[in-house]
Amino acid sequence: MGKSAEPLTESYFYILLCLYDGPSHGYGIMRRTLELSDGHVHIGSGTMYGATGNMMKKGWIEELPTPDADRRRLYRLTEAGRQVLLDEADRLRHLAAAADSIIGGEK
Amino acid sequence: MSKLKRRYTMYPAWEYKQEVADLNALSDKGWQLQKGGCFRSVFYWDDTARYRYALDYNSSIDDPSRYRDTFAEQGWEFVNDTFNGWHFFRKRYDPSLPAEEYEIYTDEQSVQDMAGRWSRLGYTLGGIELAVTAANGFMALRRPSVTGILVTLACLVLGVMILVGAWRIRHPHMAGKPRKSLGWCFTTVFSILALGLLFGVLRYYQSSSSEYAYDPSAPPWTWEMSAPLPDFYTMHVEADTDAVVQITVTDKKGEVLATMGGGGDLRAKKTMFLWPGKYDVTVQYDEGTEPGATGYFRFEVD
Repeated sequence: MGKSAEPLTESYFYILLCLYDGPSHGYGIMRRTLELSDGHVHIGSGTMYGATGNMMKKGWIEELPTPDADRRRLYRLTEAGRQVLLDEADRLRHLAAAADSIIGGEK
Repeated sequence: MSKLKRRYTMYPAWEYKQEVADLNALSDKGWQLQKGGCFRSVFYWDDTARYRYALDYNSSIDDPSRYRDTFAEQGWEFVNDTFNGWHFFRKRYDPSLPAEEYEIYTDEQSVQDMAGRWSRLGYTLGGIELAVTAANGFMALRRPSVTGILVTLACLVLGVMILVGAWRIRHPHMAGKPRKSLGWCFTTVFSILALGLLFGVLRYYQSSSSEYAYDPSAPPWTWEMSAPLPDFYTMHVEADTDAVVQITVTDKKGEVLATMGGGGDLRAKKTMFLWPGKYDVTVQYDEGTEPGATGYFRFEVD
């Protein structure tokens, strides 16, 4: 259940990454993703709803209760989701290392 | 109370981006969407605000509250949804913000997921439409009628359009530019369908019949029947006669359109296309018929 069958999309990866330090809501995840990606990755509302819904079904994240007055939805990383994130980060590190071994820092 | 404007426009589902662009352009002109729809949209006048709109297709939202809240978090205001799963959202336009702020699907996967939801529906609807076309076509061959031909044609064009549309929404990069004219195609298809159905209703109530008992002392019997609408008409003849007869249908110029003949217990039918007008049905007994011959005929045209 914790293992991702295939590489994560950028949106999935950043959502999991943004929740690594603690719970956050959709808008917070979107803002943090923009910062982490130097403004390259924007997670729109439709993408956010679909991605969080799928990850809750997979058991990677879970929704936390919020006060009734607060319409923001708060999400938390589960242990399974944490493992998926770590595995993906490891896979990306290997990819980056392989790329570096051939092309170095050339851009 | 602000001014309202109703706009009757139909966008094919796979041209939803064109609809969004048109809503944005109307907002810039001061017309703000109050209620979006598949056939009719309502706008109110407010030239103090500018909005950017987003259209989402999702007919099976498992958590409607979380769905709307997720949009609200990023400043999207829910406008309304339609019976068939389309959701309209809007956000205040700020020219200083990047264009991505007004996109609701921002990665290839989620765009494909959304497109996949509609294309599955499109392929199903298109398949059903072609099955209906085949059934209509089969019936139109068995019993030709203008209604059958029009309905078959409309179903065929609609089915092909929906299937092509399902493919276009799934393959936006290969589908080319949006085609506004497809909205007019839909209107034309539905007009043909409506015309066909109206024609069918009008024709349903138009049948005529006549009866004739052979009289050897009278001249050949002629029944003047009328065709009120241009269509295929079927003449059913039931006769019980002890002589050989010939039945002909002619127009007023004397051109023979159909002939039927025989004797004894005659059961025959003939289908012919008739333009509106009067036609003569004539019963002619063969020369040499015995003076005592008898005959009873019943005609029905529908």
